[in-house]
Amino acid sequence: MDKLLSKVQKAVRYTGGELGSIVKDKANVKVRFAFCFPDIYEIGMSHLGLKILYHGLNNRDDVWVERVFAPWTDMEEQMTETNTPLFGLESKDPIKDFDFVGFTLQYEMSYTTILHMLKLAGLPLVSSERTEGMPFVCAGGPCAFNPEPLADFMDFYLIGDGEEIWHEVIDEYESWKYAGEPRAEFLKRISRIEGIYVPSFYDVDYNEDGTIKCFKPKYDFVPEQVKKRVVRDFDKAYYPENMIVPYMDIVHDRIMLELFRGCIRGCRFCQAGFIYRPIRERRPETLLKFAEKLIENTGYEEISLTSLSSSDYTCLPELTEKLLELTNKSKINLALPSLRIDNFSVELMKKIQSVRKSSITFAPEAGTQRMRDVINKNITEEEILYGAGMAFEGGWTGIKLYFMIGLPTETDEDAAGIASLAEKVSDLYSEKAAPKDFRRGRITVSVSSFVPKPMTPFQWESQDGLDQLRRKQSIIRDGIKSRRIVYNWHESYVSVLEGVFSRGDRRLGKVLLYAHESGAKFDSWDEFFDFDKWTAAFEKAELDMDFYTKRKRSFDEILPWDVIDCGISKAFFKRECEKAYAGKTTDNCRQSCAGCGLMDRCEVKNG
Amino acid sequence: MAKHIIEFTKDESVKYVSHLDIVRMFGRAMRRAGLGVSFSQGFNPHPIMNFAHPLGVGISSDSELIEVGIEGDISSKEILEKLSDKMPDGFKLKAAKRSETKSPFAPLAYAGYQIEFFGETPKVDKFLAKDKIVTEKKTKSGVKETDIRPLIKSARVTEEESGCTTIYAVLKCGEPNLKPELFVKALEESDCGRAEYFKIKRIALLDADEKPLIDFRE
Repeated sequence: MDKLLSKVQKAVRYTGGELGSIVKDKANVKVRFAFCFPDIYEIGMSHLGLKILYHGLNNRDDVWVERVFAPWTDMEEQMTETNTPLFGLESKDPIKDFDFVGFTLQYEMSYTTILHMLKLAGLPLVSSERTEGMPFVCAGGPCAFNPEPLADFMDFYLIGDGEEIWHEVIDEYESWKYAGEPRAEFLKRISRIEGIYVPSFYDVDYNEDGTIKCFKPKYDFVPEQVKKRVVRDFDKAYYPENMIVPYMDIVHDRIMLELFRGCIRGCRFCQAGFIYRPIRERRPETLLKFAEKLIENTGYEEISLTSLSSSDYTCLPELTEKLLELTNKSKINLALPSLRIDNFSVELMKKIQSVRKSSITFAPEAGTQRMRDVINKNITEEEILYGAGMAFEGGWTGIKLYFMIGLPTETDEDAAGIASLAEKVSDLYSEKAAPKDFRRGRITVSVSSFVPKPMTPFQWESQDGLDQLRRKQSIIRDGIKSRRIVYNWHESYVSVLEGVFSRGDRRLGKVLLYAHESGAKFDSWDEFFDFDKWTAAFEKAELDMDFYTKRKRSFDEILPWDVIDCGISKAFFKRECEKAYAGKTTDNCRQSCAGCGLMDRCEVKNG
Repeated sequence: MAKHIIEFTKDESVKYVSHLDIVRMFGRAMRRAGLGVSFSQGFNPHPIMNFAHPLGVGISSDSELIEVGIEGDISSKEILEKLSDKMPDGFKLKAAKRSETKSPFAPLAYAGYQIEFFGETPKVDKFLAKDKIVTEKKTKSGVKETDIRPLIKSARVTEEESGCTTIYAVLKCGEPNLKPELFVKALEESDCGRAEYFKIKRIALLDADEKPLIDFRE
């Protein structure tokens, strides 16, 4: 192993042994689980879900969870040359000998990396080719809400919150193993667990136009729709009191504190805002206890609040006050991402000396009020300018504005609105900033391309093609006059494929296989992404990208992800979609209940 | 505030951890141990933490030296105990003492390395017999052809097994400096051996008289 490592860059990605990592005696465990993140160490180690499952399941004496990341190309070469199969970081044992190989699906463009990792592991890629004695390959995470594109490769999926369901799967595994039953029996056993989806237990028929005709369970004990798992008592849900402290610099190298899961906002483009519902909060006392333990155990120099929109935490003033006491005492930083800019947050940031007054971020998402109403981004231009003005008066010299183009019903005026909003912010800077900072002002406008996602009110929409996007972005570029504004947009062939796979069906398995065979991997990395490989793969599979992206679906089309019940009713999504067309907004969950379908499990609704 | 010198190991299992990562690791370990690291005064305060000599990635060590400023009146022995508990596996603390002089690491002149050389037996004597050993060496002003012979104090074979020869080399450390990897590379370039693979461990940091840089005996 050391011979291999001596020849690669950043070998510390592959050595394991970090503080907080867990090594067990394999003779004493019953279940070995490879938690695979289909990207490199620095990215995978930043993922909160990994921390929760790693420590939560390793708490069991009978289970050993190890981490697996995609090796960078230099390491891959060494592994291939020396016939070293993909291994777990903790034991260095080949994962093909494990009981479970589980992938987290954080973004669609990681799918080829998953196939690549299975190949490096020496496992058959296709589920039906895996035989007795081989590990079960499974997946969870946000992209699992449309499990179909990877249906050929996964033995099963875990849909929804992972904290509880894994324990049930492992218990079932142990009794299945004890009973000595064949492989298929295990999948039958777990298909009865709420949140488990076994793709091979369903037949899919297609219409001539390529849409789905029907989706049929093969057995009577298999649910027609798989309900997502929801941890009900979030305050009592497992949260790690220790986290691995990597040696090397990773993307998010700090303590993370998850205040709540879910979101009350209901922005119509945002998949996370719906699939993690209902909103469930932890009590401030619970969070402070975790914070204290984590500071003590890790020695990290920073703690960060993570949630979809931290400002929506009901006890934020109380929590931040006590957290600041704690961080001041331990001389560490408190980071507050995803805060809405209002009086409270500006005051709070002034209190946190460590926050460098360099840059502040806003996500208006759209340039005109009409467009923001369509996407239900309930923020007005007045509020944006008020927040920006406060930041400038408070001494901030940089502001980042995030927008999307390609949104449903978008017109040229909406695109132009992005430029004019940026101009207004720039004018405001001239007005509010201290004269000494006048030249330092910088307004960064970042525009990304909207990709319609399953489990959102825009799941039926057609996606803008690159030609439309190019035209809109030139409108924005032409509308920007101020030299203070930096405009970022890059043409994104990746967003086309992201669109295909986010709403794709299981026929895409072939495309993934062909792309993988032609060497596709790390598609979210610019230096690897090769659109030509994908075009060829689609041709070979006789499938059309436009069918998945540039097609408006009717409300009654059977969608590939209809097999998953995310708890939110289709009727609600339809209603929201129609309101979007009418430019009508929906209150957030605390203002009034919009009846999304999760009312029986909702803390806001039921107190 | 008082400054303390700590001797620690960097074991084989953590030899790929870079110098900068070790600096950060120490900061975190001290925070876990509840030791307050002193910060320098001035516009951009930074923790008072000096390493005798940074160790290259891929090299393990039996003897690394760090000097740290620690708040409060706390004995070196107590620091050693508290911190030992909080170090990640692979870094072991060996000794600690108060730092009494202003620049305790200034007398650093040499470092002793153990090099395990896998391949045909290297001809160390032939290598050292050369008047000049010219090789490409990174200097402050770029890569230059440099004679490194004066930077090699001594080198000898300490053990020979089939396929693996162990060399102990004392190389100039500080300004100028000779990295042990470069020693191996020059050996190969001089046709005095070819390594399929090699392992390096730093054994000691030495002063001009080849005595340990820091004497931890009471």
